[in-house]
Amino acid sequence: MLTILFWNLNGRHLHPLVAQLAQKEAIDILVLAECKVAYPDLLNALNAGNFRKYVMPFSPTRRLQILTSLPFKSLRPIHDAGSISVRRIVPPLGDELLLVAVHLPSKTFQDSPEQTFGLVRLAGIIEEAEEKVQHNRTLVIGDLNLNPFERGVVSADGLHGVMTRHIALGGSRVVDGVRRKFLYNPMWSRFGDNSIGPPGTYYYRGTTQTVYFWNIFDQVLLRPDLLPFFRDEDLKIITKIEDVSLLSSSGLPDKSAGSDHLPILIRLSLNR
Amino acid sequence: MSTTDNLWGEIPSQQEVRAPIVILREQASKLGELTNMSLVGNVQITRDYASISMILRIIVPSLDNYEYDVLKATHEALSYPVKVYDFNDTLATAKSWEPIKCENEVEFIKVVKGILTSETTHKVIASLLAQTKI
Repeated sequence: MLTILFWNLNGRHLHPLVAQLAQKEAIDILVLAECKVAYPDLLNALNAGNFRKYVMPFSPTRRLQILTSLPFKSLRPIHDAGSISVRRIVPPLGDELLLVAVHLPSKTFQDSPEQTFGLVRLAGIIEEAEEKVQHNRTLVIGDLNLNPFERGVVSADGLHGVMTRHIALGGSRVVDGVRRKFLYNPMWSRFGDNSIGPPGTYYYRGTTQTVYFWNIFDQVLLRPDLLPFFRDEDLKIITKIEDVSLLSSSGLPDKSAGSDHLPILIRLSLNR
Repeated sequence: MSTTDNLWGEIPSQQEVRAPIVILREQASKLGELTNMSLVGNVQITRDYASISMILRIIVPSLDNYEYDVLKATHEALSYPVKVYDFNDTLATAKSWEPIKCENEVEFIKVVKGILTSETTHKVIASLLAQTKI
């Protein structure tokens, strides 16, 4: 089993909570965005007195921090492009994986077309990396700053993220004469009251005409080749770490206890 | 005998304006020279409906061709103005993710130089060179 966690820390010093979560959930790969904790403090919190030890493999980028409890050389850098980090994961047991960690620009800094072009660029980087590693066992995880239903995430030129396994297992479709591979986006089914867990990962109440209140900017998407290793119930939006609730009494992300984003966790049974 | 009127007026003399792509390619090439090809510079070009984008990238052959994107420059039909995206927030003056608009070649060179000589970029280059020796 390979367990991956993503959390946008919103610049807060949440390393003690991250450490508790990492140990409790036996996380193999930890991806952090907006992490302003100094590396020694982060590693110290993760490792002090704990059985599971984390390392920070070579990475020249600062926007995303990727740590692992796997052997040091299990995480191999493929590409860093500012807010995008691509890593080849070679676990001691089981098939290898292509990890694409992202923290894309906020809606505050980019308008919708700019965000869509950003996703087109991300899709190109993923395709290049898949070509390089010669497989399609790709997992995209991170804060896209877009919802699963927005153009850049759904469109064929973008991530081409679809809402059901059945569609994703079709593999691809031809658009404008070009074959475009699918990604399965299980986050579609995590919206609203009748979903497993909270209604989203990020809450925003604005004064404009259209506001969703709950958003799912923090997402995980998988290529069909990974679907045999993934059960939908193995994806969680975390709302509690030991005794600390990440939600306020009104059920919204509690920025005083945690971050404005909730963490997401996925398990893959790659070593079967 | 009829003469053809010149409706073009006086054609401006050709100025020595170098396009962003030329400047970036020069710097990509320079990186290889400066590091004995331990690090290789590359400029990737993409086109969308209205603009052309160039990404200046460092490639590390000994790290299984690991790639590190330094900056992106984007312009429309004319070479200038050009927008520069400082991918790694190397310039203290630029806010994260906001492009820096350069009206002309001089401004473009100043911004590119700022990014390439920044502490962040130099730390990355040092770190990549160290990895090539492992």
